[in-house]
Parts: sequence; structure tokens; C-alpha cells
Amino acid sequence: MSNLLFVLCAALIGAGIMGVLVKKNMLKIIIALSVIDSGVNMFIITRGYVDSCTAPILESGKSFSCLVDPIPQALTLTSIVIGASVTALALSLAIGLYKNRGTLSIKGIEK
Amino acid sequence: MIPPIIPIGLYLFAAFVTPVVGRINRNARWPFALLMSLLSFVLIASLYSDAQAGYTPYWLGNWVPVVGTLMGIGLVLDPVAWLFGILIGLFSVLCIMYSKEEIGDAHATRYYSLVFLACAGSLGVVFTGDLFNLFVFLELFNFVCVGLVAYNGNERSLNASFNFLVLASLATTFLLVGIIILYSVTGTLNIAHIAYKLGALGLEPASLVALVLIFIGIGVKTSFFPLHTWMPEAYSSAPHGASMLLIGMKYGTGLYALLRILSVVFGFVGTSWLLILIGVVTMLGGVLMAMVQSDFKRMLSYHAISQLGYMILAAGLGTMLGMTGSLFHVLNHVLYKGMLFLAAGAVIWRTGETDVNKMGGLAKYMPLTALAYAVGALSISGVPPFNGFASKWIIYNATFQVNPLLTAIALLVSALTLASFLKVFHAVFLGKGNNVVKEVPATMTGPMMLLALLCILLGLFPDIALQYAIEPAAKALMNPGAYISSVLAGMFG
Amino acid sequence: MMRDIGYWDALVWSSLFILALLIAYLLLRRKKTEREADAFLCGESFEYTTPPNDFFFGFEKTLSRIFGGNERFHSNIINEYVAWLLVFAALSSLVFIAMYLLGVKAI
Repeated sequence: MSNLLFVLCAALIGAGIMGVLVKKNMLKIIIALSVIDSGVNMFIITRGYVDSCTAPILESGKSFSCLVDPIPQALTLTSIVIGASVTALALSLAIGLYKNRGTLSIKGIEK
Repeated sequence: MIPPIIPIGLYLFAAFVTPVVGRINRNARWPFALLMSLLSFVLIASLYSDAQAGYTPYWLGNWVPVVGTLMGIGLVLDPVAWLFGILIGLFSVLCIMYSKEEIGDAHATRYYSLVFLACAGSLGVVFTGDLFNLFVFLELFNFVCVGLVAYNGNERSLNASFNFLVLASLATTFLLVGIIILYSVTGTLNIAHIAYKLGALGLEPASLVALVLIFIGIGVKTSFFPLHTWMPEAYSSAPHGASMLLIGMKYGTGLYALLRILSVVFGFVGTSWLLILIGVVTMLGGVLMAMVQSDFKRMLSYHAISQLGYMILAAGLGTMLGMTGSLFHVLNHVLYKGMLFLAAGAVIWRTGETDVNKMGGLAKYMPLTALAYAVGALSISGVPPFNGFASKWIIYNATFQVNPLLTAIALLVSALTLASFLKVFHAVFLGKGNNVVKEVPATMTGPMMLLALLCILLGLFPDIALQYAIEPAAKALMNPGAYISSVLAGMFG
Repeated sequence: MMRDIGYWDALVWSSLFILALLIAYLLLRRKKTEREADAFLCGESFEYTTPPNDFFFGFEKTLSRIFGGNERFHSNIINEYVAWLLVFAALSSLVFIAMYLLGVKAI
């Protein structure tokens, strides 16, 4: 089961890298970066998963037998925030470039 | 000892309080920013005695490691981290001093906030002892670099910033995957603890994948060949004070992080032929590209890449002399390259264009700038008695002990560097002049003259820097065992 | 430390530099004969100066293939930059895997 998830993560990251390699439209490159971030976040959480354990939340009155590793989940939260910031920055740059060039292509008009 | 988190916190505080001060009184922004940067510089300088005492860990929140458990986030202060930190402190002061005239009054607040956030980010990378902390501060530094590069708002700056953002976020994605793989192999995020556990496990396929990913991830920020492609456009489109600041901070977040992780975490101390090869290719590729540039600041950025090749070459030699040469070259390089960027910025600011073929005869009107450029050009080519000669002499000696062919290549690159700087000196400062300009104001020539003075002083008396700062730093960088045992001191009974 | 690897004395080097500057100044100040011209350093009054673009003409022409390749490498298109990043990542992973398989302990 975990192996299938890892293959899925690799496919997501691969699709994102393919997007950055091939696409000439700035918005599509930004979407590809966001897809790479999703793949990496999924990879982090899947790495932290221990078989048939519960979420790492201590509730009063309940005893726990086995918890999933909480550190990758904290790392994922940070990574999601960073991914959102990268998308926001890249979109503002794309807006500025669109106003300057009139097109969303990374090469500009005549080049 | 003050906790090393205080300068980082002071930069963050200054970044968020400068707009408030600006709201109260517009003219108080620049003095307040200058005061904050001077205060941080003094605080970092006061950490000198604690830095020379060895590897001093500082655990945030006082989560000191006890027997068998390490849970805290640590900052490690050692001589080489202090060296890079003091460079960041010095360059933040000079950048704020230079930017008074250049940025002007309208948007100064966002510029000062960006500069302080950049200093906080890079200082965090330099002082940290924890891998995920390094990742977070590196991402913070990347974001602020995007803002600084795109500051001028024209098409070239936005394009350079977009390219930089895509490459940098791809690189930090690789870095993050590598960190997660290391975490899943060892179970911890502290650099010394990972090194300790990897030393017991040996190099297995998982940590090999992590090695490649981290090498690529930090390599983009270090900008050796062929991962340097974002750098010339980005550093030439930034505002001039910001270019100097970014050059000052690049080696802490790039070369230092790479060397630290390679030597401590993966245990690669000694002669590293891969770094030697990368250094040689970077040297040649950078200088060959710099010779044909007609844009002033882009030429300087390509020369920065080729000098980075010297540093990687000398660091890859693995000897004490090589590492000393490499770190001394970092110190000298940021001094004279910062001065060259300031001189280029002064010329571009006064004449209004960036192409060297359209400038001419400026030595008559801008004598101080011409003097600063001449000192910088002679320093970067390794002409005595300037500081570039001192560090290059050590690198020539270090490479000669390994292979004389490397010394020949280093000398060739020095000659080509001198050639291209003479060409630009003739184009900009000598020759026939078409326009009458004035000299730049004192807040802009002040940093240039200060850096020129430092260049000449370090060139005449290199033993001062070598004995007090560089040799302890080189010794600290080449000794991973002492690093691990000092940071993990509480864990073993 | 500089004394260990050669001769370094601040006074000697700086006096040599000042001596070189003095010689250059005296040479420039020398009164020229009829057929010689004064050296022109900087100013407005000269009809022709060599354009700095052509300083390295011979060098660039000989190595035109290297310079052309280098300029095509820095094409400022993000797709090609990422492609080179991936090529370098693949090459360096091959290098590291070869090092691991051969049991070499140093890169």
C-alpha cells in the first residue's frame, strides 16, 4: 500500500517536472510547480506513516497504542505554507510580466 | 555570550518595525534602518570570543540534549559561521548606507524591509545546526531574493526574477526530499546527530539518493557551473546596493552550507576530485562568458561565478592550505566584488545606461568611483599589494602541491580576468567622453572608499585576517569529528 | 602565514607598487618629439578611439565555437535551464552511484 503511494508521489513530481520542462506558458509552469509541491508533501506524509496507527493527537481519557510519526506532519505544514508563498510570488511576477509584454509566453513576443 | 538568535531576531524586528517608523516620520526611516544594521553588526562582532572557543551550540528554548534524546533545534556558533555572519552584518550596513540616494524616498520602506529579511534569512542559514531550519531559512532567503531582484519592475528584472524563482523552488524541493530521506534513515533532523548516526550506518543507497538531492539543491544556490544560469541576469537586474548585499550573502547560504553538509553529514573530508573538476569548469566558463559581455553588471556577475570556481577548487583540494585559501578568497572576494558592484551602480545611476560601449571618459568626472573600480579590478586579477593577490597566492601554492596543471589554469583565468577588466576600465572611465556627469554623493562613495581601504589593508597585512579569522575557520570546517562531539556533548553520559 | 609560502613584507610590496606608479607617471609626462603623440587618457578632445567591443577580436574569432556554445547555453529560457539542471542531476547521480559501487570513500 505504501509502495503504491510512493509510486503516485513519483508520478506527481515527474508530471510537475515535465510541466516545467516543456510548457511555454507562465501560468502552466506555475501550476507545474504547485503539482511538484503536492507530490513532495504527499511523499513526506507517506514516509511518516506507520502501519495501522492513529493520528498523533493525545486526547484526554483515551490511551494510545501506536501513533503515526508527528514530525513529518509538522514538516508538511511548513512545506504547504512555502508552496503557497511560492505560488503567490510567481503569480505576481507573471502578472507584472503580462503587463510588460502583453503575452504569457516565457519568451516574449518577437524572440 | 548573547544567544546567536538575537541578531537574527533583531533583523526580523527591524524588518517589521521600519514601516511603523516610516509611518510616524518619513525622514526617520533611513537613520533607524542604519541604526538597526549597525546594532546587529556590533552584536555579531561581539560573538567573536565565543566563536573562537570551538563549536558552541545554542539550543532554542533550552532543549539541551540529555542522555539518549535530542529534541531541540540548535544553532551552532563556530569560527567559520562567525566569519560568514560578520560578512552579512558588514554588508547590511554598507547596503543601507548606499541605498539612501539610490532608492529615494517613495518606496524606501519596502526596500529596507526586504534587505533586513534577507539578512535574517542568510544569517539563519549560516548559524543553524539543524537541517530543516536550514531549509526554512533558505526558502525565506529565496523569497526575499525574488523580491529584491524584481525590485525595479522592468521586464528584464521580472524575467530574471521569474527564472530565479522557478529554479530556486525546484532546487529547494530537491533539498526537501533529500532532508526527508535523511530523516527517514536516521530519525532526526539535527546535523550533528544525523552525522553520528550515518557514521554508524555507513553510506547506504537511501543516503546516497539524499546526497545527490542535497548536492543539487544547495548547488543551485551556490551557483557553480552548470547550475549558475540564473545568477548573472538576477544579480544584474537587482538594485545596485542589493546586488552588493546578495553577493555578500551568497557564499554563506551556498558554499558554506554545501561544504558543511558534505563534510559533517556525509563525511567527505580530504581531496575531492569532483569539487576540483567543478571548480575548474566554473572558473573557465565564467571568465569566458564575462569577456564578451557588454552589460556592466552582468560582466561582474560572471566574474563572481568564475571566482567562485577558485573557491570550490581550493576547498576541494582537501588540505589545510587549500581551505585557508578558499575561505580567505571568500572574504577578499566579497570585499572587492561588493566594491565593484557599488562602482558599477554609481556609474549606471549617473549616466542612466548599462551598456559599457555607450559610456566613456568618466574618470574626469567621477574620480573616486574610478579609483574604487581600479582598486577592485587590480584586486580581482591578483595584483600585489591588494588583497586578491594574497588569497590567490595561497590558492596557487595549494594547487601546486596537488597538481601543477591546476595552477596553470588558475593563472590563465587570472590573466583573462585582468584582460576583461582592463577592457571595461577603458570603455567606461578612459577614452572619449560624451556626457557630463557629476560624482555620486558621499553616502555612495563612503562605502566604496571603506571597502577600498579594507582591500588595501588586507592586501598589505594579510596575516591579521589569516591569524584571527581565517585559519581558525579553516580548521573548524575541516574537523567534523570535533563538530559532532561538541554539539552532542550532553548525549553521551 | 604568508611568510611560510614565500616572501611577504608590506613595506617592500607597497614601495614597489608606488615605484611602478612613479615610473608610469614619469613616462606619461615625458615631452614628446615631433612624430610622437601624447598619450590620451580621458577627456573629450580626440577624434578616434578603439571601440572596446573589438578589443578581443582575434581571441573571440578563434574561439568562436566555444563562445557561441556558451552564449547558447545562457539562453535565458527557463525550460532549457531546468533541462540542464536535470542533466546535471542525472550525471552527478551516476557519478555518486559509481563511487558507491566501487567502494570509493571520497568524492
